[in-house]
Amino acid sequence: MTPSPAATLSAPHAVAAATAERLTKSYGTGETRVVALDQVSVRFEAGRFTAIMGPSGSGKSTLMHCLAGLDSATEGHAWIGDTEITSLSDKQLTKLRRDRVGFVFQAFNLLPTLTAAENITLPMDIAGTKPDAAWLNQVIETVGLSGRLKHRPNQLSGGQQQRVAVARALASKPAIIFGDEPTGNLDSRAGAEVLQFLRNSVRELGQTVVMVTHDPMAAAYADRVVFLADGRVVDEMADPTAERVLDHMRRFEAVGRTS
Amino acid sequence: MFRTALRNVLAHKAKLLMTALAVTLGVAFVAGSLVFSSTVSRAYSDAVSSDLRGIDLAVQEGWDDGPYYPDQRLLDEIAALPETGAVFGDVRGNAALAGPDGERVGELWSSTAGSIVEGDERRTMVEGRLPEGEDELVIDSRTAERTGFTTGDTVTWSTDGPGRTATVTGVFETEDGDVAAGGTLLLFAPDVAQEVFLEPGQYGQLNVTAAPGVSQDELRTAVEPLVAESLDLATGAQLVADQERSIASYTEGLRTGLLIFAGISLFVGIFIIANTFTMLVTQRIRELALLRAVGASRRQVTRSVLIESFVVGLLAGAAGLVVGIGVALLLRATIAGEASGLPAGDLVIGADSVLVSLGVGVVITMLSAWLPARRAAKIPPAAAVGAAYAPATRRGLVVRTTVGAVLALLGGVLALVKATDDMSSNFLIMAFGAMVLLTGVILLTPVLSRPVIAAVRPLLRPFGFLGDLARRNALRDSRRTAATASALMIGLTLITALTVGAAGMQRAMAEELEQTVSADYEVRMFSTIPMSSDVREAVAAAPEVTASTGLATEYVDFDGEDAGAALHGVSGENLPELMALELVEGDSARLGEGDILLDERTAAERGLGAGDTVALRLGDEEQVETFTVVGVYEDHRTLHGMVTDVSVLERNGISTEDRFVWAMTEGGVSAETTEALRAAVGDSPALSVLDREAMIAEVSAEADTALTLVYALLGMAVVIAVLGVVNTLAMSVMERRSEIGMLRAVGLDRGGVARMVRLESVVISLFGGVLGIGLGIFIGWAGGLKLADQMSTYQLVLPYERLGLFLLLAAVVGVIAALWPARRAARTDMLSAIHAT
Ligand SMILES: Nc1ncnc2c1ncn2[C@@H]1O[C@H](COP(=O)(O)OP(=O)(O)OP(=O)(O)O)[C@@H](O)[C@H]1O
Ligand SMILES: [Mg+2]
Repeated sequence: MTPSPAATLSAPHAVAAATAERLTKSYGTGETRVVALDQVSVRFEAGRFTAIMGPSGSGKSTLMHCLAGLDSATEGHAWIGDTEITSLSDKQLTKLRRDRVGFVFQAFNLLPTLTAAENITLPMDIAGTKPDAAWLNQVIETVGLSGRLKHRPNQLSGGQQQRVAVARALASKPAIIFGDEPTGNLDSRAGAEVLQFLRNSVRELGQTVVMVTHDPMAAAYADRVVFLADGRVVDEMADPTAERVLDHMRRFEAVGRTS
Repeated sequence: MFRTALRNVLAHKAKLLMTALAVTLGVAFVAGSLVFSSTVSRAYSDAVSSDLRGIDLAVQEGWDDGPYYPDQRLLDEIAALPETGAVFGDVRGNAALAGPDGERVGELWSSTAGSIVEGDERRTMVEGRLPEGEDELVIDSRTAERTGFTTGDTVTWSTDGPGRTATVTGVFETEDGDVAAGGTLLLFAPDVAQEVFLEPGQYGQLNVTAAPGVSQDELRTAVEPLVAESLDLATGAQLVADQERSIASYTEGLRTGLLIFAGISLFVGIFIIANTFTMLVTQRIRELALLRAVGASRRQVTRSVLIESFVVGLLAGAAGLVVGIGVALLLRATIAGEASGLPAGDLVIGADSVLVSLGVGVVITMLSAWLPARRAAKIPPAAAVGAAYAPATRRGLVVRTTVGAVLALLGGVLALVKATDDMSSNFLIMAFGAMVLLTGVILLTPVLSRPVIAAVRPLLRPFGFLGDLARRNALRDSRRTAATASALMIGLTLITALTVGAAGMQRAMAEELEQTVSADYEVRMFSTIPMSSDVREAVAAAPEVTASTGLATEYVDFDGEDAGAALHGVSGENLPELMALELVEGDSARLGEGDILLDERTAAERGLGAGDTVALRLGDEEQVETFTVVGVYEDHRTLHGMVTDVSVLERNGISTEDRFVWAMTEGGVSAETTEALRAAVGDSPALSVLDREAMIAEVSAEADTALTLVYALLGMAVVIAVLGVVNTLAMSVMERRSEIGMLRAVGLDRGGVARMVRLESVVISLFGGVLGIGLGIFIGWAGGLKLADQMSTYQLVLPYERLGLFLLLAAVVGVIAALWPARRAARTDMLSAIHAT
């Protein structure tokens, strides 16, 4: 894919896996207009684990969708690596998602008709490409699913299912993995396993992960936290711990209440 | 409850659409059949009663040791009565007219002829004058319009013999029933018509009108003493009643035939309705459980689903009625009229048609919703709070499979059983067995889905991963897939069985013909009605013909008994050359004066053999002829009795009519010879001159026509099955929204999603197709076993091309059915799908 002129002009981010520049997303018009994202500019560096936090309705999912090519922005630009995605067609976006982006959703990650192993290789099967066997083994090893590959999703626990989803997101060695509350439906132990694994994939396998979460404990697994409120990036924190994140959130709530 | 149900129907109207359509189509078929047949019936009645208008009394031919006709003397006597207004002698018979292209105009059975005199109210001359001599006739105005013949034209016509020519002296208008049905009516001067159809001075019927103030009964009383015992008398009212009765029985047959196919369509519809309500109930488990939790009884839940089905049935039934009336209109426009011989007339929509249609809609829908409704009632209130509830139990499937296997086995065996020598009971048992088998297989479809769909896997290989996904999706809910495929299976089973049966029959008949007739040419009338002996004489006299024979059949008695037996009259000299007879006794089928050949059965029954003598009583006379048996022949296609030279029959004053005339010609079959033979029989429009190839083609043609009609009628069942596939796919796509959203997110493009749905559709359809074609072949084969008893040449013929076409049709059905669901699936909004929890 050749980079678009816009990308070559204003993409100074050789190491950024994903970039948003004055990204705006609004729904409806006139009276009922809702601005979900308001001129958001943010970069997600390659090889890092970033958490996005913020109150409900602050635009976290919207930002993720626009960056991942699941949704189109109203204004502004977004890049995956050095590909500007805001100008891509639906077909090109589909291909981009398949080849360069990994997803872990809160639910409905797996096809019930496929085994765990088949679910993991799903994007490559769709593309009709052969997975890199060594890499695949490494991924499966790391996720700790070796014994469960022949099982179908309904024979797996929620945590195991999410780990399969993470493995699938990793399997095609994407430029970036997005997770929208990937542990939202899990109990804390299962959630911890998945988060541990996400962090391992960044630390050990050199992947890039961006994850939306409401849970300070989950955010603590990340290298960096970006805070959203009312569709804007309001703050960020490097090397977060659960206490610091919680603290931050409390402060914010207090500010919100006084203002 | 009713309001809840109504609201449910409205809320689920998209989901109920296909169901309603299925009911609508089924009911439309029923309504169309009813309305069309009553329309035809009324049209016939109208045509007949207007034809009978003005007849107060009819003196009809009777029987006195042979047909007995009213004559001129009786006519004159009746005319002289004071009660008589007028009396016309009618002569009626079949006569065909050749169109400008030389081909017969209309069907043979409605090609009629008669006599015309001045003052006959039923025929009004609109052009020219009445015919007088032997070579003059008048034609009806519809025929004139159709052929372009007008006064002064020379036309070729014929009864059951060679063609003749005559000049058209005029055109008349009539409301004659046969003409209304697309036939032709040729009218001659009375003496000419008598010459052609009866004897001079005879009439087929005398039509009497009463003098003013005289009732039909009074007229009858006055006429009765003049009329011989052997003749029949009927008043105008009786004539009309008789005609209506015969029309009713004819249209009854038409209606029953159509309704059988409508029934098949409805049966197919049941699967779709049941499937839909099952899916609706499953989707609404929470809602229904909540109803139970807040205090609704099981009965109330069942009733709410049933009321919902009632509303759907009623609405769809009403729509079906409207569509059906439209279909009847269309049928009337396309089928009725000249081509098929059904008269056209105003549409008749009886109250019974309306009630039956609506009733059928409601009953079928409620019946199909019955099981899902009961299942709904079994939903425990706890399901409302999210406890997973699986309504389809394994035990249910085991029971279903067991019952299905038993029925399939039973039906299969029954279909193969040979009960008696009696052909019809054999076939009844076979048909019953086939139905039991079909029911069994329908019950077995869920367990069959896995192996059969695994079998079509190679076909999906070219589609790679998507084919795989589609296959797995089809296997997800085996009951749903099974019900959907069953609907298609039923139609294809019937179509295949009939195709296989017909193919075997055609081949057997062609083979038999090939084996038993060695003639180059065959001359015959439609449906092998006997032809006048002039035909065989004309053929024999043709210079191209080297040898020929007719085949006349006369029923004679063995001397001293009354038991009738068939005696065929042929050209004894030419017989061996024209027909392949296998002799079990004797060494030549050549028959000289006083020789006779016996069929095996007669020989066995009578204990006769070559060299014996047989005494037979021929004709009306107490004349006994003695024959010498020269041989005994094996069972034969067209000969079933004793065979002798036709001269013996002629010598005894028996007028011989041939069902076939066969001829060998100089140099065999050629276009010129065919032409010469046609000319030899005066280009008769009633006769067909067939060369060997055409003889064989003729055998197939009739079966082909019937088959095409059946295909068309069963087509509706297939169309309804398509709706079922659409329905199932649409529901599945809706249920799998999140999954489709996820697939889109991880990189499946819209086209891929559409392809996946399409392939699933093809898989389901092929499943139904493979089962249906397989089952159809079995049933066709089983039916063939019974035929083989009767026809030694019968063999199973699998018309691979056609069967392949059916399989392709099944796949095409899949593609068509998927058009809309696949588009819907491709348009799934990714984000909302992912977030819908
Ligand atoms: N399809 C839509 N139509 C209209 N408004 C929408 C749509 N999707 C999102 N919004 C609005 O955009 C804003 C941001 O939504 P978004 O889903 O990004 O929030 P979020 O931060 O992910 O919230 P949560 O934590 O609850 O998931 C909200 O105000 C929401 O109501
Ligand atoms: Mg969200």
